[in-house]
Amino acid sequence: MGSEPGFGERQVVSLSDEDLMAQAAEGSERAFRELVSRYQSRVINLVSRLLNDREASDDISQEVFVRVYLHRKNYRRGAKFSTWLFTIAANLAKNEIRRRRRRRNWSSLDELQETLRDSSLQLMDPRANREHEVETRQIQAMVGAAISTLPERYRLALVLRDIEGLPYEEIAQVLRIPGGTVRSRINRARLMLKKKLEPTLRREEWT
Amino acid sequence: MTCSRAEKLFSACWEDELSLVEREALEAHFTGCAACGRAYDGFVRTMESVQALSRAEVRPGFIDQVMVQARAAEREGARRSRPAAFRTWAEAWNWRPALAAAAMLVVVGAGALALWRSGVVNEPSMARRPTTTEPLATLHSPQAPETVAPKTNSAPTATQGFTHPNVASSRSRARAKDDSQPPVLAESKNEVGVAAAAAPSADESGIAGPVRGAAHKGMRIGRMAMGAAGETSPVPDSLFDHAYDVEFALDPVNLRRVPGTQSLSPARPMPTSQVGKRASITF
Repeated sequence: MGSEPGFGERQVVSLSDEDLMAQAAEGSERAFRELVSRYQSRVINLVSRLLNDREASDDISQEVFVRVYLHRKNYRRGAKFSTWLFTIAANLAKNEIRRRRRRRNWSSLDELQETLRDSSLQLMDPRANREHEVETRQIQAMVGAAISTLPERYRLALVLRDIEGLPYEEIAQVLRIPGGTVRSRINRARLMLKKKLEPTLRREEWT
Repeated sequence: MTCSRAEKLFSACWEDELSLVEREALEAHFTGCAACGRAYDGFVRTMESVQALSRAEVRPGFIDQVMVQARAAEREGARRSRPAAFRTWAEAWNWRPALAAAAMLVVVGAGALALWRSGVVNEPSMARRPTTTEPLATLHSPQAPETVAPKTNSAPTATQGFTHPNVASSRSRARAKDDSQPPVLAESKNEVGVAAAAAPSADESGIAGPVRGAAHKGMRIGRMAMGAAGETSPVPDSLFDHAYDVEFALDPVNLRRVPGTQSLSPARPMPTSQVGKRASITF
């Protein structure tokens, strides 16, 4: 890959994901960079929510795009690029989840519950002088932690739907499960998350 | 509607995917069941908090780092792929069918080689040509040096029989079933049909007759396959299984008609001067 005379920025931006992928398969570095630019935020966000680890999510997100680059010639033109990309991201995130579980570095449910209880007590104290921004950050940290304690299959479905906003059909392709199973898992994940966050959110509502 | 059923509809209600009937039923259940009502409120807060999660920011240089790692990975992959690719190819290649195919090729090739050496397979120069119904040409063609039977000054008489090329060695014979079509003597391999020599004249009809007669029995003559020593031995049928033109290396012999019969006497070698001449016979 090198300089590509006659292939300007305007042309790259106007191309669809599939066209960019086709160009990248033929050796266009500019096309591949455009694809990375379009999807880097979504991939990083997806991985970080699945792992609840911002630091590790960068490395894994880079690995996602490296995999796309190495297998760019295997990309089938008819397939939707985002589906293929998220499939790779989900698989790499799953692998990392399982690796961490085996190494017992994962936050246990007990630890989460302790964190949530402490946070709830702090939130219950009306005399606590906390800025709204800090509270919001804390709540988001708790929600992120709660998501990370969900079973892997429910966590994936929830993040893909409620954080990345993928349609049910695409989630079914990414996870390679039937559409009905996707809906069932998403509903179950939401109810489980609600149960985990109920004490925290109820107290937060009272303040 | 039960509380369990109502809870299962929380997601669809949150995503506004309920039908009008289902939504009314759920609302009615909430009215009658405060706990489910509070549960659904908690569900909504949970979903709002999830959607309110901030998105992870992309750190500067992310794309450049990706390209550096991608190029390095590609180079590493190319370096490692050579022996690995061979191994992968060797492992992926199912050697059993290939081995069976190779063994089959060896057997077929050995069989073809054996057939070729045994002389069953004709030389490539032998082309299949249609049989001809031309009468048997005279054997006494003065212009055909390859003609085995010489044109003698004194036409052989019936008592003398006629000279007829004998098959000293042969590689084929005409179709045995085609006795109705007498074999034709040709001056060269490429000639089909009557030899250049004129048909035997009426004066030589005594020869022509028995010649034709002999021609009709050409198969039998051929089958006699007499060697230079005059021995008679049956020729295997397999040597005459096809209609290829053949070139016989003939040793001239004399054939005599057995008096009172239509058969010919066993061939006897011709005089020494005629030995070595070759004739081409087309069946």
